[in-house]
Amino acid sequence: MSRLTDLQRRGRTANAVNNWTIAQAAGTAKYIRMKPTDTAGESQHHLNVHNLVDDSTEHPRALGVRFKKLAARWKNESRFMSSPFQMANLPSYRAIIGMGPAVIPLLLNELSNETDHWFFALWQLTGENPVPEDAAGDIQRMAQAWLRWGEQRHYFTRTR
Amino acid sequence: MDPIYLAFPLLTATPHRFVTPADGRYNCTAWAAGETHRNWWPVNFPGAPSYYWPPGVPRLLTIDAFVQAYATLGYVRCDSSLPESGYEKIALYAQGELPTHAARLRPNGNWSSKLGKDRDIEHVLGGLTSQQYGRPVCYLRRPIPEKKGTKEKKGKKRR
Repeated sequence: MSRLTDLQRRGRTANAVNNWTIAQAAGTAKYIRMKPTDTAGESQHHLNVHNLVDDSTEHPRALGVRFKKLAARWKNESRFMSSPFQMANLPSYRAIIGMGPAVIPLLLNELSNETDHWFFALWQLTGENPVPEDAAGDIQRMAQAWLRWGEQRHYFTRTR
Repeated sequence: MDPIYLAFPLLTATPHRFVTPADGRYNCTAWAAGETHRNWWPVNFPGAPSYYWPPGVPRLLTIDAFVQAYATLGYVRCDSSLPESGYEKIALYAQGELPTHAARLRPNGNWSSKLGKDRDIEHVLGGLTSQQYGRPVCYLRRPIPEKKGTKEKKGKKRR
């Protein structure tokens, strides 16, 4: 819970950090609604502006389906882009960030299946960046750093 | 229809050739610099995941920052996109003032581009002019570097 409070303090952009907390069990995100008083003004502003967050108690399976659709759309839309800014600014990518921390395990799982530029979303959702400086731009090493981070925090388990 | 022709409609009317399959390990900026193991881009959010950018070059999304990045490899601005004997060239594309893409000139006079996370293609310079990439706005050149070991081999032959 203290980690969530820390994230709230950071006031990261459009995500549902303020609305949800996560409990991970066997790689599946479960979440509970927090009290409205836990909602930080800045993030709420972003949620309203971008209208990205589903404020309902979405079932993990439905969340997974929605994530897959958005991820597929983003991959298609970003395929010819070189700029991580452009990629992260696509509505589909912002919508994934807007789904909140419940998608962290889904993002890590996606990253383990196919390396892609999910780093910005993970940073936005977690407020962390485990990528060593000398791995900058090497997306395979960047992905490995995030997967290790995910394993250490029990967001994700590699299939060996 | 291959989505590449939707993104770059002028390709349908200009000669081009797909060279390699899609590969996300490197982007156009890296490819123009001769690298295929990492992505180059001037990402500049404190604490955010960083992409490679030559040390000492401002992490700004400007043509000038890109010119400076390639200057670390010996490239300088030039006026023409036409092939020049003894030189290799890079073209920078931009949408307005914002850099979007880099291509490099091949010895055969065609341009070579890595299309984001997608394929490498050979094309004419105008073939990628599009809503997504804008148009070529700046050209750079450098003398073709002598291949490593050339001098030594020549030296051995003389003996």
